[in-house]
Amino acid sequence: MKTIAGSNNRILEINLSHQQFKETPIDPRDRELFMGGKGLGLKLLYDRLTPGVDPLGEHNMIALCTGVLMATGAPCSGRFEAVTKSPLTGIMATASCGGPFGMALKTSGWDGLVITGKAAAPTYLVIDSQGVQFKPADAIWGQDTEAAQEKLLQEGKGALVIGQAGENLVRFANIRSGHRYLGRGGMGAVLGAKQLKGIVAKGGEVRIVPVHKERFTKINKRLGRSINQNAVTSGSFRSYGTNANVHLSNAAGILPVRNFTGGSHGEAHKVSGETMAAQFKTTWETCKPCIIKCGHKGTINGQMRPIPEYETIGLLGPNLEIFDPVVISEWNELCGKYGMDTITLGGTLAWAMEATEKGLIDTDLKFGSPQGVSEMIERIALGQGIGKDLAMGSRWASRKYGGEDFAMHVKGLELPAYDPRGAVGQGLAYATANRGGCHLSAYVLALEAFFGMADPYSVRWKPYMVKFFEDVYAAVNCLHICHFTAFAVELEPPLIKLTPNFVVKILNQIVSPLALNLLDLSFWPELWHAVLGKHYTPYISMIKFRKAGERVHVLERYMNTREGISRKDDTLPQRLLTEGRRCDSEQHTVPLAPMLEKYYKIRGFDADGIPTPRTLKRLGIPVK
Amino acid sequence: MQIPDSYEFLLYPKIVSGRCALENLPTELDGHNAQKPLVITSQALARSGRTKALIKAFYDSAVVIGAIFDPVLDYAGISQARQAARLFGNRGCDAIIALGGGPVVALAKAVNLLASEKRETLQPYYDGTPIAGPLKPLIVVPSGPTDGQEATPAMTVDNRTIVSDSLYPGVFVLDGRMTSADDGRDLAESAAITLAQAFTALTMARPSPMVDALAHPALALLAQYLAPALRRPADKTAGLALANAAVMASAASANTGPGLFQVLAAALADATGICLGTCLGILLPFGMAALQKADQPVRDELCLCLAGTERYSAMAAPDRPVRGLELAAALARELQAVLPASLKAMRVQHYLLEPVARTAAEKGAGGFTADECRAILTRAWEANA
Repeated sequence: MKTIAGSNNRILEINLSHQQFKETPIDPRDRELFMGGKGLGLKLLYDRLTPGVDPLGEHNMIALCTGVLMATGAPCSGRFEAVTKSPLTGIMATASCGGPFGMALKTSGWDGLVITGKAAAPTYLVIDSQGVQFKPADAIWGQDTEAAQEKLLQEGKGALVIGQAGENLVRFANIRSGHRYLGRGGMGAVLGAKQLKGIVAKGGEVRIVPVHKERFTKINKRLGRSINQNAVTSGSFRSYGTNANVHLSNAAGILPVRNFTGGSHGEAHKVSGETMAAQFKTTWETCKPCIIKCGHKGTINGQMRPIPEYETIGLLGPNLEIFDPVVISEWNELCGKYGMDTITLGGTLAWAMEATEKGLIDTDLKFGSPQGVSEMIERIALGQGIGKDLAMGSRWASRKYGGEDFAMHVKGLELPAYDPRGAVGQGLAYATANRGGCHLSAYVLALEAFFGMADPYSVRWKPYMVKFFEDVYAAVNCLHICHFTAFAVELEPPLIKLTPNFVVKILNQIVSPLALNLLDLSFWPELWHAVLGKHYTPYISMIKFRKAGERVHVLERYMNTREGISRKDDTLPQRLLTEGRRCDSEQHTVPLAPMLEKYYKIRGFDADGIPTPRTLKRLGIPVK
Repeated sequence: MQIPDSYEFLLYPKIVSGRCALENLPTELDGHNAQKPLVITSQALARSGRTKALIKAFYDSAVVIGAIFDPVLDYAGISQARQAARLFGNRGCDAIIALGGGPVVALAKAVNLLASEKRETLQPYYDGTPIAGPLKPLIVVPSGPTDGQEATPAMTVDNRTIVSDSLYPGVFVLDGRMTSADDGRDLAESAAITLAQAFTALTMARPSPMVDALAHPALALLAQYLAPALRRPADKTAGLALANAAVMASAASANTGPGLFQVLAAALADATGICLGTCLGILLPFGMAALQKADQPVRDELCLCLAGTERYSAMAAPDRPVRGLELAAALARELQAVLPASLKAMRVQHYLLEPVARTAAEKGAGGFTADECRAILTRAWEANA
């Protein structure tokens, strides 16, 4: 087996129309500026993708990129990123996944793939260190993700596969790898439109080792220790999965209930991580390598099944006023098999329930009743009846049938399971997130609603916090390492760990930029430098790391502005701007406008939300 | 002048216009035997002090404002309509005043329908059930951008349109304090809608004297006041003139139906989420150029109202239609001082042009085919007239 120190530094470009491929080396400058994972994927498409192409057309591209930590053994580093133009939102979509495909791709000797064109007939790809084989997929076309993946895994160590939803161009179809998904933005439909059923990477052909092994091992151990000490990563998430957030969200009044009209619900405990762990005797089923172990499976109705994650629980549970964990788990599994994003599905079903209630559409769906939901999921995946319209997402459906005021999406992407009226900084983060309604762009709500480190209703410094975390998380997605390591990296260093939360809250209220700049994020850049054998300078390297994140975030924004995004799109659903939650006696809404104004200034965007030439130049982004 | 063999025209609404027109509100309500109106408006207007100005108009009257419902943004939906209708009932209101632009007036019409007919949903009307009886008095005080439907029998709620003569507002109160614009963009978007409506009404194949009577002054007002209003959006005189033009064009359009511009722009707005006024502002010059190339007959009256009597009289008769189109196109180009000049500048994605052209052609588009619509859109995308 060949050993490579650092990274493969080569990309495989595949044209499905002509069944051709070529190897492209990664420009060292791109590696320096955009790192890998999300950043590299975006830069590859920035250089190749013409703005304005049809997301479901031949000319759209999808990049699948690993980070430099992949296959090095760094904790929670088994993640890879997909970047494409989304058929759901019409703008750039990025998604991260912890399935085995990333590891297999990297150990096949590639740091990433760029796929373009459209196959003449259903096809799947087999990747090895020499390149790619194009194989007919007629035998697996029409199969669900589980069956198709099982078949593909006979040819390699990691596979990506779409289900019927992707084949039927459901705009929020996802891509499966192992038990994990490239969930958001309809990447499955992009593959479906290209008649690409799956990709399998042989893996195990190269061995990746860090250039500075000793330094890497040392940092690795320290990070592992921090993860094992942190209350979230080694406590609640490890014991109950991300569902541990159900109680926290319910208590903070940010659990979406009845299409974001509630905020909390007396029956929420029935679907909490704690309840499900006890009821289903859960055990771990995680990405590899992972020491947080937030992914769980359990015995449900006598069968071992994946336990739904928090977002799935929130959107398919309380948001539909359903509090039966068995039913939600069944829907989760159904979505997994068909290959559909549970967040967008939940948001769209909630819209459909409310639209039915208000007489805008005629369905059997009703808040609080599971009746008809399974059938509707099937109709959506297979494009039957009104399911065909709901398969376009809530924005499209509400434009057709009405009810735009209660279609809970931003830029066409449905909101995750946190109500920003109880964490207004998160409202700004939703409005400015590049891919649309997304909590992973900046998870400010953790400070606001969970840890008591920031006032959830104050707008003061929130634009700064949102920008800070957007930059940090973008950089994390370039490494690529799990976001949840942030709990350990950010909260375990002694300075913050020994400071009481209420003091941090006061500091955040008065001098947030100072407080945030004191956060020690050094684990991440240290790992990066050790793997690539670069010289690490304390603090300076951390600043550079954040700047790389800023560069990637702004590049994505700039690419979106070329697709028509501007200030008009940086908004929230009308409900969040004008109505209070039922659980909130003070009826707070999200005061978005003043925060947005300030955010643009801090970001270096003009008043219309477009990055200025000066900002692009400062970050080294070539203007096109 | 020739009287056509036959024509139909419904003349609504009553217009009260002037610098102190608001002070007539109590009298107008009294004329409808109403004493307790529900005011529907937006928070933006409340912040700008216009809601307060409206309330002041009732200081010396016996009218009591029943309630103010102000969470309306830029979308009229059944959820808010129900809330407002409940408020209307609970407070014992007997009339509605809509203070605002398109979505506010649409919502006010929906509230009126729900409250007057004592219903919870608009579904029966979407299904074709006729509106039974006269509705409660509805007075519109325009302020902010128009959607061109205010003075028509149509209302679009939840993106679905109901048309009924019962939905005509009773009175339009146009007051300079309310109609001056806060920014040039809103003003240009509204002007684009007015221009498209008045142009279509005046150039329709079968003219009627009543349509002319409204479309002609609407265009003349645009020709005279658009440039000063764009230079200074807060100009009250120009704002009032353009608001008058908007109501006239809207009332004329209600009797003629949409033409190429409106259908094409509506399809584009649906597909892109860009507001109708901006779409029209971009498309108008290119659509007019296409009309010119298509050699469709254009009436002399277009030239008369845009050039004025003196210049019109001095022109040779065969030159008048072409000159009329040129003047209309020049007026449309004035809007581009404020609005984007092309769909590309607006960052409309090119792949959307094809489905938009198809949708527009299916809906009529003034007799233009999908290919012709696509050609207009392509030129508008490239800004190539």
